[in-house]
Amino acid sequence: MVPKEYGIAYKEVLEILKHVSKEDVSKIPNNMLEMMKINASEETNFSYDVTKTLTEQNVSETARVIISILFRDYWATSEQREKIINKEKCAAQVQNDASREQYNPDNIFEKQDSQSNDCTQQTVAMVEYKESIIKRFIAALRRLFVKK
Amino acid sequence: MDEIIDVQELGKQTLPEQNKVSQKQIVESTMKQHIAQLNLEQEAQR
Repeated sequence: MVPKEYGIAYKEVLEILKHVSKEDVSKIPNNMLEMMKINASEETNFSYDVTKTLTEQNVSETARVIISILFRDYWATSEQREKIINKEKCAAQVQNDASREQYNPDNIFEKQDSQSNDCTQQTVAMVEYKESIIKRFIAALRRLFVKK
Repeated sequence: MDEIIDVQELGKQTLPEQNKVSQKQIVESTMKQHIAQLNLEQEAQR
């Protein structure tokens, strides 16, 4: 049993799909169509009128979102799909930026930077220490050869 | 015969929803859950 909102939306989408060419409907995966048929609300009476827009017919927002997903995934040209996906990426970026601003992770990064600097300094120090041992070893060898 | 609507026209009409990215993600993931649920039920019946 799906939430009422989705039952209504599935019914509306299926009614709309009755007015879409068989060729275009066949692009939608069978399991998705089957799921919508099984879960569509039987109490909803909706008849789609092709002469009116979805908004004019008060098609639910969820149904309109489903149609937009069907368009993006199965009906759009590759160019249209690319544009939609790029827009989605931009929106996600804006959302990330907003969250970033909200939680102000810059301070965390500053801490991480200072920690990583510390790590780098430690590594450098270790390398220098190793070099000095090697230098001392070479110097000791030279002294031995020079003595002989 | 039912009148046919071009999917490009439907695409145009749902442009405002196309921009509602987070809402699309929610609906998409809910539909996936419903499909998975149906698969489980069908598996159990076999």
